[in-house]
Amino acid sequence: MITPTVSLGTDAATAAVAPRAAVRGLTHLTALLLAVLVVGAGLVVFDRGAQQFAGDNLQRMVLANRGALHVRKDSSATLLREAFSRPDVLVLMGSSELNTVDYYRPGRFFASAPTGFMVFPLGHAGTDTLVMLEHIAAVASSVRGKKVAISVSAPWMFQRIVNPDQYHGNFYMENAAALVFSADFSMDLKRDAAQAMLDYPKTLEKNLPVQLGAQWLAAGDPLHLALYYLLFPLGQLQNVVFRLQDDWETMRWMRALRSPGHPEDAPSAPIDWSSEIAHGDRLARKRSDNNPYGIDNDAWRREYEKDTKLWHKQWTDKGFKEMVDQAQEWQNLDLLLRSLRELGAEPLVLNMPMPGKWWDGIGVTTDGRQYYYDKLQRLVAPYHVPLYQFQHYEYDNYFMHDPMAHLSEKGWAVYDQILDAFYHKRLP
Amino acid sequence: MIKSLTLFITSASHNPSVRTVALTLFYLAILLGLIVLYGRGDFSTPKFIYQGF
Repeated sequence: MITPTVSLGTDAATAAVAPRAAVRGLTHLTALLLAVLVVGAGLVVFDRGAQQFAGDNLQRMVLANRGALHVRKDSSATLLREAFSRPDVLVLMGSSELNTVDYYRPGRFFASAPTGFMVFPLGHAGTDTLVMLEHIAAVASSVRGKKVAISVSAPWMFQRIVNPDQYHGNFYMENAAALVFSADFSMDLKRDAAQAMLDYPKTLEKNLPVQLGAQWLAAGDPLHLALYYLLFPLGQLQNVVFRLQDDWETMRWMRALRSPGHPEDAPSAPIDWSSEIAHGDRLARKRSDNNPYGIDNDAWRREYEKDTKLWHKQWTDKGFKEMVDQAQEWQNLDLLLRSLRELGAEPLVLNMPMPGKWWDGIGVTTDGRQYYYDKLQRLVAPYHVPLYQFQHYEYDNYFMHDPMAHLSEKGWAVYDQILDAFYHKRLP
Repeated sequence: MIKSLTLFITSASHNPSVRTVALTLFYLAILLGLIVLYGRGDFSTPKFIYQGF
């Protein structure tokens, strides 16, 4: 009996193998998608958990540091997001003045929430308004409709451009990326912000998407904007990665904080502001008695005794006004206020006065200083937000710690009163 | 015992659901490994000269 044998031709063999390969491929794809879904869900849960952890430990963090500045606190968008989300926290953005004296610093003074809120000070030496804008961008959705206080430093407003080293020392790629690839701000704002960021090109070199995004945004023509839009999804994905990394680092840092004690000198409500300001005045006088300007004794010895002699009558009102007009910070402060307006936030702008006796001595008189105050008034006016410049304290020797944008204890006590009134909607 | 284990694994591997679960775990391990290796961010900033404000 002949048993017929059937041998499959090449096409038939391929046809039989192809479905098995397709099935294997589909299995791999299904497995990969499932793995991605599981990881994605896990990361969402982790992000929520990190935010919750930051919220549960915010006051512990404030008390542990007594509101002191810590670089990790300043770089944590997770913490800042939580601070803005809490109705009992007021964010105060500033720079070195936030950490120059201890008593009456808002972070410390309000650490136990004596009148129902804490202050979250954000910034340290060299934090300028462009850095503040980048911080805001990283947490933009949390800032919507919220109050925020901004402390302005006069010296920013009369130097042509902030020292690049100073900007680099305060620059966080996560925040810059959030600004460049923000879905919360208008294209006009992002374009203008990108142009400002490109004044410091070295900061963007380490991240190609952010660098290209900023360059294409700043260029502004249709071709580059089209390229920017093509890059946008990648930028947003990178922002998600940055956020998760920040969550992790923040949790690690907060877990390591020591347990705080309760502040022994915390004020209790109702606060007698006249008494607190008088106390601040006494503290300031006690440590600034080796010079006729009310400058802190150490600062006088270290720096200002020499500078006061060196700069005596070396400046003029005309020269000072020119410096004020050329400062880059005006545009950046305007950008910051625009960003807060776009988010529907409620800013309060606080400007430290220039100590009159000292500045008269180096040649910048009331006329020159008033030019600066008027320019700030004109910049802020269109935004219809409260601005306090404290010019009536110019000749109070003990309001400022030194001539360069650092408040004394008395100055901070006055600022604390305004912050309290701002939070409680009772501004004078 | 090893023989029966081998037989069990071989027969299980022909089961599509088992293959999918095993592959999912495999890819999960890769993704988690990548996160562990490359997930930490760098939040350091360069030192700078403080200019007084």
